[in-house]
Amino acid sequence: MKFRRLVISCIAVFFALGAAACSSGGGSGGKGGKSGGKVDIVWWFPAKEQEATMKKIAEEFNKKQDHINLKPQLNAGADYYTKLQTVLAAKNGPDVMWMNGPNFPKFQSKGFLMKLDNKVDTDGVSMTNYPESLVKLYSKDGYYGIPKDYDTIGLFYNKEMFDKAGVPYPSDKWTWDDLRSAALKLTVKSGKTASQWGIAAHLSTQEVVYPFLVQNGVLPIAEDRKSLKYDSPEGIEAVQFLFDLMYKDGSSPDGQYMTDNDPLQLFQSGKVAMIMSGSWQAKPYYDALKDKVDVQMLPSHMKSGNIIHGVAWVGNANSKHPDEVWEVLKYLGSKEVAMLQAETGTVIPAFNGTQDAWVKSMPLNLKIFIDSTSIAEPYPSAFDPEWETPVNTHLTNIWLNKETPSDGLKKITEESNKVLAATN
Amino acid sequence: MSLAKEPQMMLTGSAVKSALRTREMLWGYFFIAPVVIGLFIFVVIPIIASLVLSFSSWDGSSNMNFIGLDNFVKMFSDQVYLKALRTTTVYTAITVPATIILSVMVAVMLNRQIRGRDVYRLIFFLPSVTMPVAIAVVWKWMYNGSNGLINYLLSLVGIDGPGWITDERFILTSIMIIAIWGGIGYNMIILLSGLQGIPDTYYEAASLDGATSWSRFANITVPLLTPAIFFVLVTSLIGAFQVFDLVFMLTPVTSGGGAGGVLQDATRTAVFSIYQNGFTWFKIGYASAQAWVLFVIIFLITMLQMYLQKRWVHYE
Repeated sequence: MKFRRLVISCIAVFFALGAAACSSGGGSGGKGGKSGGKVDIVWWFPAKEQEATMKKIAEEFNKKQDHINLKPQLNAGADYYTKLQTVLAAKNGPDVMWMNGPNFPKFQSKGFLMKLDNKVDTDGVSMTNYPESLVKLYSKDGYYGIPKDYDTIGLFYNKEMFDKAGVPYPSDKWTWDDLRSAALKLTVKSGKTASQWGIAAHLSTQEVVYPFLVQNGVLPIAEDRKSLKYDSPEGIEAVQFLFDLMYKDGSSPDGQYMTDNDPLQLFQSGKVAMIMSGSWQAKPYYDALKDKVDVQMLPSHMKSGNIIHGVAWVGNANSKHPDEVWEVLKYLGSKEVAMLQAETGTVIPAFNGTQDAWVKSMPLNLKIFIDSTSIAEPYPSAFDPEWETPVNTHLTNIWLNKETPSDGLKKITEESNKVLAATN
Repeated sequence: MSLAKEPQMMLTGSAVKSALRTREMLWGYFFIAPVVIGLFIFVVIPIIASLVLSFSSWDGSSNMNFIGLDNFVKMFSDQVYLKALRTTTVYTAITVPATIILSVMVAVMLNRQIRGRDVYRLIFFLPSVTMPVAIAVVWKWMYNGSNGLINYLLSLVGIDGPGWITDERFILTSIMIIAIWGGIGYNMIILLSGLQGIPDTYYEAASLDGATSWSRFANITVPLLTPAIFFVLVTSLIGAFQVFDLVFMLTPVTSGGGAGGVLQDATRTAVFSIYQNGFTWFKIGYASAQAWVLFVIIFLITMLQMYLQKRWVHYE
């Protein structure tokens, strides 16, 4: 009999624990409980490497005032946005959260996000504190996000390889033609196969294709996010230029080679002299190549151009404490928080004038990433994430030399426009 | 621990007995409850939910719109999905027979008393206990078109090897090679146990009658191994129709996250299509419908096999 009682109590305990675990799992959302007379504001973010900074920010905030208890919660993993969508749809979830560009239109259009215009106007917060293109990224019929940080694209190059080939370093006046002739000079071929390439024209929409489109006057997506025009002569010229680096000049490894071998690794191991990469690559490249690496503005063609993307803080439209949410957002958008982030060196803070700390964190020409904001277009996004599928599909085909640039771009334009027209 | 018997001896009377039976039954249900509840929450309810969702156009967050059979109708004109079904069929039709034939050969060889038998068995079984991700990474390295091991070996005999996983004409074959290589070990274990169940006396009798080793294999080993082969066939067919991880690992993904192009068209399988619709594009209703169609296909094929087994599976 003793045995039975033991088993039963074990099972009872098991169930009790299970039920408790479930209820706490479901209740992590921001119902806005009060602890010690304070309002709890739950704050979600997915970046593990920034957890320490976020915790420090919350600590500072909680010290500053006595009626809000800001609770930072790390939700790392690829399913952050899936999870966020599920809890927000249930009118639950965090009060304040991390948002990126591609996901913003969808979350905004479902009414999940708090509109900030009233608060911004009455509270004397100036959106001119942040790069305009970044503010634009998180606006629809008004402001929805407070920019947190951003990234732009630069032309990284290996100084040692330039010295060896006797080619002058890239300048901020470089055009596509300069890039092309330098890449050719830096390429070393032995027979049919190259042992060193001048450039890696890798297939990255954000770092390569979109910036080159912008430099030729083509927007990655129309301002109203309802169409794109990649099949214009300028669009075709831009992609043809990249294609020719691979398949005409041979100054870049071709698409197949870069599918097998990570182009970023090729640059880090000194097999490629130049590569277009985002500001987030500065630290890994510097760690790998030390004083051999530097960075310059992207070359220009019709005009100079770049792509900017950045994360923003947004509020939950269904939060029980909209006023407190705004107070937190205001603090997160402040210069003080921007400085806290800049000191870590991982991200470029969005608050204008606080980027110096990041620029000084490595002995590279990092200033170009800040200067590029004025010529940058926001990373394209639209309500239905499927719009980018034709882009990726046909660009892959072009890079693998299975479709010509003009055929591929025509198909992208046709198929993406169909998706964009159907859903907006 | 004869907890049940003990009180029975002390009590008489049918009313008491049936009350006791009820109590025992209740305890029985109580004890299996953790498993049953788990099964319901994680298996039965999701299955029912996906059936319901397959008649809707749900995107994961909006209100559910029921659209009747639209998802199923759409599927039959969706060229991408039809191609995925064809790819899955080709994959199954090649990997399953190839794996089984090779597994039978390996099992028969490793059933003999040869030196280092256990080492060979271990080598063949190793892929089954290795993480698929690790397998994919190593194969990717070997398949590298410019400096991979395979093309290096081919270059020694003067062959200019292809881009195994960067050329749409080869990538599916490359994936199937890994699948066959990885499937042999598990099947071999099942078949080995089948082989060890065949009594030696049959072989002795056959030898006395002068049967050659081939005719012993064809007339004793194979027929008596058919129950094991049947089991292996059913499970590998189901597994092959559900192939996902290898495809997912070996098809290159572009920075946009969506991936695509000729390489993905060449390798998109039925489950990959479900994944893509459900979790890349959030067409959860359509993905559920595809999942149910796949289920029906697998179910019908398995039933057909159950029916056909009477003709070729020999039970002693």
